[in-house]
Amino acid sequence: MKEIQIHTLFGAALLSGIAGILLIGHGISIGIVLLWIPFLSAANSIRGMAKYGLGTGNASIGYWGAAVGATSAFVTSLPFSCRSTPLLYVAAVVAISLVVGLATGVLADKVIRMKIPRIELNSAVIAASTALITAGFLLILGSNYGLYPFIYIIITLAVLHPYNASTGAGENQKRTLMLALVEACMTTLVIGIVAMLASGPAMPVSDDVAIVVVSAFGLVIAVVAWYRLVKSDIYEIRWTGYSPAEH
Amino acid sequence: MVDPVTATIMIIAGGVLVGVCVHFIPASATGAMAAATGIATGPSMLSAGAGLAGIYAAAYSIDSGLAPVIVSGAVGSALMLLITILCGNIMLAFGIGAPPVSGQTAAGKSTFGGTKDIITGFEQEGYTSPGTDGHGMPFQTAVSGGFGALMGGAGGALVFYAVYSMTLPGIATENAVTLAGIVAAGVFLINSVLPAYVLVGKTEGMFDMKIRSMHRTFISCLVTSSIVACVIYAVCELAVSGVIE
Repeated sequence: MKEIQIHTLFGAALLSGIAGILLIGHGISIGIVLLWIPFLSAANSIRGMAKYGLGTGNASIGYWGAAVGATSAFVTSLPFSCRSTPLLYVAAVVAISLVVGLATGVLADKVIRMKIPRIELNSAVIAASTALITAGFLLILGSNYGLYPFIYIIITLAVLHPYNASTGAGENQKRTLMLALVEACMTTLVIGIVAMLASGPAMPVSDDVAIVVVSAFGLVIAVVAWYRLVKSDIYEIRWTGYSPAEH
Repeated sequence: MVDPVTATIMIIAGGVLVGVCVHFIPASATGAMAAATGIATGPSMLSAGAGLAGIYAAAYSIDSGLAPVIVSGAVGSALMLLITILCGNIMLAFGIGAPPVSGQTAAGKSTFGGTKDIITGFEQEGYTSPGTDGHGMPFQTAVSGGFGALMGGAGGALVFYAVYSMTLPGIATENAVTLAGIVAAGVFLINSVLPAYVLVGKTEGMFDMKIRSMHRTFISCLVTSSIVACVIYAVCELAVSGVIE
């Protein structure tokens, strides 16, 4: 089966991420669904990097990528108000995270001499995708500094877990990305609930409820689709009862 | 408080310290099965944990000036790591009966040669279980880990204090502490994952031959931290001078 290229997915993530952030910036909180694509793009790049027997675990690379993205988004929220000038803010966030991610990837390739194909591209994509997601979540939750560590860790887990869970023999991109979609829906669901509890300064509670409803709807569809993929991928062992190695 | 340029240099220095400290902290994923010397997790994750403990410790003394912040960060981090080593050793020794032994030293591949513990002089050869690369954390490894955690905690505290100084003119104190904490944690995670590429998932600290490839970590962390520090400097200057809003 033909795999989706990194460029294609990242292009889509960039466009839909920026569109989502602009929508949220103009008070249409449903724009959060457009942030699901950056989740897919980041999970796909973690898969691309971790596939080649990385010197570090999937967890480390997820923590690292989200650290670059989230730190860029947090620091940039100081001078550029994410609410009054969303476009400028997003441009700055994406530029900073791309530069830091690319620089780290080039260093890992040239100085440390890791033999991983496209490590610099993948690092930049993880950093920029997580930065877009962080920027969107910051817009929804408002500048509540106490929630920063929470935003960071929830994005990290959703981004690193899909490949970590699907890895092994028979892993394929379609199933990993579908799991990433499941976790993206789950993450936005949690963000909606937290926004409801914290009742963000600029966004009315009805908007937060809309996020929760849309995310829950997406979650149900994604889980059903993912479970179908799992069943179709394991049909050989499902009806014989033996693991593939034994028959 | 320090001025922004000094703070930028402090962020770079802290980032490099954080990167280098990973080489000193004994960690190995197969340590979980008592099949290798070191704490049972990846070096990056362990260093990140020690660094976060250091940042928490540093945050308590944020009002006391630079020196207490660095010292409490370093001590907090070292305490966390040494307690982890102690508990790990107790579990390995009394739980599964594996004596703490350095696999690299037992095989004669330690930095200083020989098959004895450098500090205590205990013989390591013959205590390694067949098919493993040592187990537990013997004295020299624990000392190396403590040393690395001191460096990492100090580096994390440096970044923390620098970001705190830079952002304080712009925002309220408690917000500045939170923001500095999460940015310092971010710098820590960025720099502590880079050495993992060099260490390939396992190191015994400074008595492991892999310490000789530290220059690669140093250069990578220097460049990465410089970029991050310049970004933080530019952004904080913009925020404090109020050009945008």
